[in-house]
Amino acid sequence: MVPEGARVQRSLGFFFREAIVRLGRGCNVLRLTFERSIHLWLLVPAGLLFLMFTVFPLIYNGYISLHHFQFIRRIFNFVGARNYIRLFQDGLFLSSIGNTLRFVALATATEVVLGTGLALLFNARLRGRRIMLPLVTLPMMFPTMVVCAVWVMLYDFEFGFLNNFLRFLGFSPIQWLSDPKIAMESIVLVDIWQWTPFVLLVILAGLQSIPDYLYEAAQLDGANGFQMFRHITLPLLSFQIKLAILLRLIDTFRIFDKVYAMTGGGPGYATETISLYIYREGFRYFNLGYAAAASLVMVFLVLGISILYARRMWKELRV
Amino acid sequence: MIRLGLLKRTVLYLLAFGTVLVALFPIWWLVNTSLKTPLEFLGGGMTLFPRQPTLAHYREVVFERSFLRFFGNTAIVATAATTISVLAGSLAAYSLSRFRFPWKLDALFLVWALVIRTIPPIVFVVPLFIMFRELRLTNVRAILILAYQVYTLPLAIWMLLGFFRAIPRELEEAALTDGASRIQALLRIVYPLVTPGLAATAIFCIITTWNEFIYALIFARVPADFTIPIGIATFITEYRTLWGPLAAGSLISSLPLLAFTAFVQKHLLRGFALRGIF
Amino acid sequence: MRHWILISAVVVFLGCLVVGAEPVRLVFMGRDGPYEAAMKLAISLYKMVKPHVTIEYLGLPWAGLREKITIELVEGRGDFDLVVLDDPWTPEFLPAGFLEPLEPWFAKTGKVVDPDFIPTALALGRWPYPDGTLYALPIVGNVQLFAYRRDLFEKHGLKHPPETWSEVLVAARVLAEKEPDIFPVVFRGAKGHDIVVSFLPILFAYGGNIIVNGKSGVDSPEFLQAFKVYLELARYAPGDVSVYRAARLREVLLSGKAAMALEVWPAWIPELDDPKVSMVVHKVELVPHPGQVVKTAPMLGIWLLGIPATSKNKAEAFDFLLFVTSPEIQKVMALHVGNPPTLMSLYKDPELIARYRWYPAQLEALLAGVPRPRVPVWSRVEDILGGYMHEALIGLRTPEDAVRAAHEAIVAVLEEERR
Repeated sequence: MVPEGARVQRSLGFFFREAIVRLGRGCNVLRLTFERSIHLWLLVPAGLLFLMFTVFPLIYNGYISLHHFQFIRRIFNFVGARNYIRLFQDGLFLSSIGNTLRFVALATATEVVLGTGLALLFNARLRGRRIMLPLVTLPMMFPTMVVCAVWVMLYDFEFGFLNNFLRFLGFSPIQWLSDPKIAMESIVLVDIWQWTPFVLLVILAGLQSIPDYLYEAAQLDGANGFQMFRHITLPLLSFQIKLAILLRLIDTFRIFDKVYAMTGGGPGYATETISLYIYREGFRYFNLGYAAAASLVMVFLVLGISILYARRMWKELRV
Repeated sequence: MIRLGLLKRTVLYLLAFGTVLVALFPIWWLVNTSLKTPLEFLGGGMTLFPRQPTLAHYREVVFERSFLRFFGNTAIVATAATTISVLAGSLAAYSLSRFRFPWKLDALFLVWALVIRTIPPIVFVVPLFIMFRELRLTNVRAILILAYQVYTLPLAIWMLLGFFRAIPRELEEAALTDGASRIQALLRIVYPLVTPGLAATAIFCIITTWNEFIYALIFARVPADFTIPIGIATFITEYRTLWGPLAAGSLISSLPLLAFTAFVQKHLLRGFALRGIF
Repeated sequence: MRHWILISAVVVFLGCLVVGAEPVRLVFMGRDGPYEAAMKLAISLYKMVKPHVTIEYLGLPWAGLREKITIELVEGRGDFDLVVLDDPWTPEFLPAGFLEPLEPWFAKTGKVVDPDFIPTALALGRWPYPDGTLYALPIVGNVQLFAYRRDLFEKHGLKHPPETWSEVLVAARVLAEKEPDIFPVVFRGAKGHDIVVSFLPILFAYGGNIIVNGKSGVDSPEFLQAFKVYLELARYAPGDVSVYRAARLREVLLSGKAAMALEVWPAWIPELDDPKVSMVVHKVELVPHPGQVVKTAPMLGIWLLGIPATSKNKAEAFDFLLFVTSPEIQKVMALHVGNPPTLMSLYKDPELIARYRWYPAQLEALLAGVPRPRVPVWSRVEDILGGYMHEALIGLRTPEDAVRAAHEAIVAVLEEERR
């Protein structure tokens, strides 16, 4: 303690030490503030990217959907909800929705069930798994246009492998892509071939996160395979399964490349999908406003379905 | 899952093998076609193996100088875009899985991510084009890396959300009470546990960006900007499909992806082996 | 003395600046495939003549090219100096001022538009069609031709070349009976663009058209009659002809499994006689389409080359434009890559005829050629027609029903357009 009024000789070292202590306390405060709002800070990188590259396009889209916007002829008039009204008066748009829903339901259901089954299969410690697993994921790795080119060739009615094989076995050939009753299913098959590995990997990653000791304990208690599946695996996987369904749901809704390359929306109008409709209106007729409206209708449709779904996932998340 | 009887093992092996066959058959057909001379291809028929194999088509692609350039572009763009998405996405997913937010910010964030994923990417072409023009950004690779966030960031956030959620909070709580900061807890405890998720997410992001076509096409200004999918697209012309170069190009293109998956699968297939806990 | 050396050095230096040309870089946006090969050949030849000009070529697929042109047109800032257009795109892009008018450039350089250009092709580069301002020059002389197997026709004593579609039907019936392993007929039946385009030669031959004087011609009796002939011929085609596009058509013809192809295109016809890729070497004859009520009237599919109005190197681009459309270069492109020329004299050139024996037929077809209707809403009309016709092709609708539905929809579109 220094007596009052006395003048004290402070060394440089003293000031130095004081400064560091004060700095340290300041940093601590900063650190604590940072820590307290860290949840917000962690969102910043992703949030920034979203803000910069998705907000503007989405708002732009919403804005032009209220206009008659003919890109080439530079027509840009405000028309309010007219685009939306016209959409629902267009039989082609409505049937596209129906076709798309059919595709979505069929593809998603099959891929998730098949993918989960395969994940369980590859979860077992089979020898050669490390080689087989990447090979099974190979379909995902090819650009869609290549996948389509190959399958169109396989599906060829007169000379394609599948029909030749059927003829060889004594069956009659199938009009894979030219029969309106099964053209959609043929495209679904291609999607299943290409994307089931996706579900496989998602579920497998989930399965791999389930600790072995849970199964060991259950076995000690005398549970059999099926019971273990039902009471350990399934509940712990439920979020992953729901996630897989959600992601495939959204992706299959956007189906475009395959239909464009394989049938162009045919035979007749059997494989017309919403994305094809949007593409045509936007990039073939250049009615960007109308196309934007169609894409927003699609968003609401998908959101409607997936929000009901995501809500349940959300509740699980909170637990 | 733990012990398997012999019969069960055989059945499982058969199923696994069968799956691999189904997965590989169309690809084999692609290779098969690419090895055939044009005449043999036209002859049609069900030949599973070419009678007169030729490597002429492969030479066309392998020695094409441009293809190396496309490869470089694609590799850079895909890796960078994936890295950004996985990093930003994992931070966001961690935060969303652990904390409560005011004004339902977290729900909003996630719904926004869904909305972005729902819209067909082509709908964003024009606004993105305008945006990059206004930003005076002309480096095509940079443009693609940023534009691809539209594809991969929502996917990364949603996928990683599930994986982070699976990690029990107790582990970080323990570290925190031991005096570690949040960040340290995140990096040292949580991240290592979530590697299967990171691995799976990285695989999907890189596949998506590697094979992306429409943005790569629209934003390219000179041939040197092209990525592999565009190079491959030129093999599917209006009048014929050049199966040889197409197969060669697709296989060469998928090899790095395959290698990445094989490399990363060791993280995917970890057992649940936590150091010092069990 | 030193002053003189310095002055002469400066003069020489300045002289070099003026005389030695500055390097120029042009960007050329065009098609991929055989078109790319042709353009790249021309570009490499140009480099020898004008070494200071570097031309970068962007080869794109059909849909991709159209998309990029659109974006460049409305949002671009002069990234491209040369661009290729398919002729059906002109009613959309030319009125929007996408391309630079060419006549002022001809005047500036003291040149004239070559009278040797095929008139029907040259007219497509003008807006308003057919005699307005010139915006683009034709560089690929594509026109539909009819192909048939001369050997099979001779074998069964069929009259060849068939001059009317009735004769074609007769030939189809005979061949169906006598040659069970070969499809008498093959064509592009895929929904939309393909089915419409493959139908046009028959439609034109029966005196019909899709748009007549700005109104829909789909409800005319000629249209229905032609359509019924088309559907009758479809019965002799492969089972999934309704998904056939150009590539498949070409494969079937080259593999010898088809006797007649309703429409073939010059881009791949040379392969018909190439023993490395064809199983029908020297067996296929290429002729202008059969007529019926009207003598042959095939559809034109000309590719045009123009200069975007936003280009920053118009003078150099124009020079290249003249170069690539000149007789010498067109001949080289035809000889080495098979690019169909757009100058009449080249179709009479003995060297080219020796290589491509169908050139006289192609010239006849080009001169008689009819382009697709020049309306801005052609894409929409084509899609509507292509959808309903396709339904009739696969048997979901009767031809009468399909035609009626298409007509109503097209009328609605034209109405909307007028407003």
